[in-house]
Amino acid sequence: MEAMDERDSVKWLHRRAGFGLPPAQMRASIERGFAAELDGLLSSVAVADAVAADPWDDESLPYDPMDAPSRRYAIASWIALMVNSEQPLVDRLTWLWHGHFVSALDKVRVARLMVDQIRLFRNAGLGELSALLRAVTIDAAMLAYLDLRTSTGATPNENYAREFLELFTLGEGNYTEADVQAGALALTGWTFGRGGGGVAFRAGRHDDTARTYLGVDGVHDLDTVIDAVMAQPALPLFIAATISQELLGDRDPDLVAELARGFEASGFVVGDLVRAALTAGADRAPSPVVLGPLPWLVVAARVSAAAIAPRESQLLLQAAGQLPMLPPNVAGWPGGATWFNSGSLVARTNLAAVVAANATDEDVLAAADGGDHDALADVLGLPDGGFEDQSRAALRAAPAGRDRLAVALVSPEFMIA
Amino acid sequence: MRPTFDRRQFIGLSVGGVATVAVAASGCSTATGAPTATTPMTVPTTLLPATPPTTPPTTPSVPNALSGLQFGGRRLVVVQLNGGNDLLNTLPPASGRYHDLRPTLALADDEVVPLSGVDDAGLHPSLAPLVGAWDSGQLALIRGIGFEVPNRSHFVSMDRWWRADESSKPGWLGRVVDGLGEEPSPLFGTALGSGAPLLNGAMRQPTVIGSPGSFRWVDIDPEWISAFGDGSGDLAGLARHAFLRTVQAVDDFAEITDSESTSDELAGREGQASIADGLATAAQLLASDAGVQLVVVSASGFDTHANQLPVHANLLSDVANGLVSFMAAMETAGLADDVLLVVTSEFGRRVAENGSGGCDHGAGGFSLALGAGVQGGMYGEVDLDDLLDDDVRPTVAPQALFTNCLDWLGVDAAATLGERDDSVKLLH
Repeated sequence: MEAMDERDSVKWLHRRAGFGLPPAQMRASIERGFAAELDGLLSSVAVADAVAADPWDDESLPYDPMDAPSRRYAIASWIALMVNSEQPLVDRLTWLWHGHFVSALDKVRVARLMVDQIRLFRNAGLGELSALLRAVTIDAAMLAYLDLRTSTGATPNENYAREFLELFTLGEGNYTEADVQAGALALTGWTFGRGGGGVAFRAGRHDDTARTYLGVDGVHDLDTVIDAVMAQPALPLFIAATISQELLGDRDPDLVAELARGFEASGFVVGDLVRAALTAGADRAPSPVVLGPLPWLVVAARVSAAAIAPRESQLLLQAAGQLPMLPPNVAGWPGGATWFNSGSLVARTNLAAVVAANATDEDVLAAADGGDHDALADVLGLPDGGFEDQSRAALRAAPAGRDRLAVALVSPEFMIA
Repeated sequence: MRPTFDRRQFIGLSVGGVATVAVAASGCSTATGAPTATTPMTVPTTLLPATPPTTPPTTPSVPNALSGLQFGGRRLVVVQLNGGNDLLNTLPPASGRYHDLRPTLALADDEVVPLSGVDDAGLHPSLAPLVGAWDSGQLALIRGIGFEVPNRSHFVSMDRWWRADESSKPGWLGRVVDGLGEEPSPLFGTALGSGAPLLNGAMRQPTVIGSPGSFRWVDIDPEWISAFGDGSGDLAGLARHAFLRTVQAVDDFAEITDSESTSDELAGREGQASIADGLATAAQLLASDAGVQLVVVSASGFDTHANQLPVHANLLSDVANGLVSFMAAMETAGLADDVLLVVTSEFGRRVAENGSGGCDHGAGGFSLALGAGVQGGMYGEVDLDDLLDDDVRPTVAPQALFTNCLDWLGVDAAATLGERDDSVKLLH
C-alpha cells in the first residue's frame, strides 16, 4: 500500500475524522484540498458552532430515572445530530470520547445526565486534556456510573479511581493497587443530590489526608490527582495511542511516541494531537479501521441523505451491538473484527436495507440504478479503486436500485474505512 | 487436537451416583491433596438419571459421520456472570466474620438455604431451586476460584479467564475449535448475549446472537450476501467469510427456533436477555441437529458496587430458574447425560461491604458445575481469617475448572491449556 493521493486523502479524512459527506459536498471538499479541509474541521469557529448546535430540549429530559421516553429521545437526538453534523470532527471526537470515558445509561438511568456528559465532550473534547479529565471526573453521569457519588472517606469506593488509571489515562502496568486506594480517598466528597443537577463537593464526605499517589507526594483532592496523573510519562503515550488507534487504525510505537512528544509540547491540547495524527496519517499508507455499527450508520445515512425513524434505527443498532449511550461495559465497545460476528452482521445488513429504502441523495440513487460500480463507489466516498471483484459480483446479484445500494453499504469496502 | 478420550470411557462411571473417582486414559491424577469434596449424603438412586445406560454405548470416539458431532456427542455450556459475582452472598459462610464485615449486606442465618452435608456455608435464598440438583449429587459448588495472584480489574480478570491466563493465546475454547480437523457448522460454537471471547479462536469465530428475535434477514435476500464470496487473511477477507457463515447460521437458527416471537420492545439493557432466556435458547440449539456443541450464555449486572441486596437477589433468581429449566429441557431432549454446564465470573467481591450498600472488586469467586456427569459436592475453601488483601484468598485455579471441562469433551487438556490442573476432580 502506498500513501494516498490528494483526492483519496480528502475522502479518507472525512471518513476517519468525520462521518463522510454526500457526493456534492465531497466534490467541493476535494476541490479545497486536504490541508484546507483539515483546517476547517479543526477551526475554533467549528468548535464554537458545534457547541451552539445543541439539539436537545431540556424540557424533554426530566431528572427522572423512571422516564423511559427521555432515554429514547436522548439517543435519537444524538444520532440525528451526528448524521446532520456541520462540525463532523467535533462530533466524531465526541463519539470517540464516549467510547473512552465510558458511562452508560443503564446504570446512570437519568437521560439528562448522559446528555450533559455528551455536551461536555462536545465542549471540551478538543481542548486541554487536564481540563477534560477534571470535568469528566466530576461529571454527574460519571459520578453515578463509576460510583464516586457514593464514595466517602469512611467508606471509599475504588471503582472510578481504578478505571481512571487503567482505562482513561495510563493503562495497566503504570500504577499500583496503592495508587488506586489513594486515588479513591482523594476523590471522595464529590456527589450530587437526588435531582441529578448540582454536582457539589461535600467536605464532610471527603478524606483530605495527603498521600503518595503515582509517586507524587501530597495528593489529597481532585486537583492534586489530576496534576499527578498529568505528570506521568505514560499519559501522553496512552492518549496518543488511543487517538491514533481510533483515527488511523495504527498503533505503530514510533508513530505513537512521536505523537506523544508533540502532544506534550503542545501543552496537552487534544485538538493539536488530533491534527498531528491526521497529518501523519495522510502521509502514510492507510491502515484499515472497521467502522462500528453506529459510525457506519451515520456515514451511510449522511452519504445517502437518508432520514431513518428513530425507533427503527435504535432497535437495529441494539441488535447490531452498538446503541449509543449503552456501551457494554466501562471498557467501551471492543471493535475491530469482532464487528463481523453473525448477529451484528445480520442487524447491520437489515439496517443497510432501511438506509437504502430512505436514501434521497440523487447522485447516490442514480449510481445505484446504473451498472457503473466505480461511480457508485465514488459517490459513496470510497477511495479510487472502488469495489473488489467479489463485491462487484454481490452488487450484480442484487437488483439495481435500492437493493443494490443496501448491498454496497455492507460491502467490506464500505464497512472498513 | 484430537479427542483423546471417548465417551465409552465415561459411560458407566456415572452409574451409581457416588463418586468412584475414575481416571481417564491420559493419566490425569486423582485429586487427593486438593480441597476435598464434601459428598452430599448418599445419593438416592431414584434421583439419578432416569435410565442408566444399559446398552453398550454406540457413540464412536471420532466425530460421528452420521451426525457430524465432535467430542463423542458431548456438549458444554458456559454461563458467564459478567461484572464479578459476589461469592460470599452466593454461598453465605457460617462465620461471625462474615456478619462483622458485612453489617448490612450479610444474609441472616435463617434466610440462608441449608445444604445437606455442608455445615460451613449455605445457599443464597434465590438459589433454592438448585437444592434438588444438589441432593441428587449433580451439582458441584466451587468457592474461592480465582488466580493465585489476582487482579481486581474486570478486564484483566475477564481476559485471564477467557484465555486461561495465557495472554498471547486465543480463548481457551476457541483453541479447541481452531484444533478441529475441519471448520464446524456455523452454530457449533454459539454465544448468546453479550459475546464470548473464550470462544474466539485465532482462526475461527463463534456465532454471536445478542437477541434471538433479531437474528433474521429483513428485506434482504441472503443470496446477495452470499455473492460477497469468501476470503481470509485481511479484514475484508474476514468480513466475506463471516458473511458466508452468517447466511448459513441464520438459516439454521430459523429452522431450530422457528421464531416469530421477535422482541420488538426497545428497553436498552433494562430488558436485556436474561440468563434464563439465554439458557432457554441454548436448550433449543443443543437439542437440534445443527451440530451445536459449545454454547456460552452471558449476562451482565453482577458488578454490584451499590444497592447489592435486591439487585443480586434478582440476578441469582434468574440464574437458578434458568439452570433448572435448562436441565429439565435437556432431560426431555434425552441429552441429560451429554451436557455439562458450568458457571463462571471474573472474580468475587471484597469481603467487607463498602459505603454504598455494595462491595468492590475482590479475588476468590464462585463457580458451579452441573450435570449428570458431575460429582456433586462443595469444592474449594473460604477462610475469612486468612484473607488476601481483604479478599477471599483463591483456593482453586480457573484452569482446574477448564481441565475438567476439557476432560468432559475428551479434549487433551494439557495441550489446550499448556498444562493440566488436577487440583479438583468435578466429574465422575
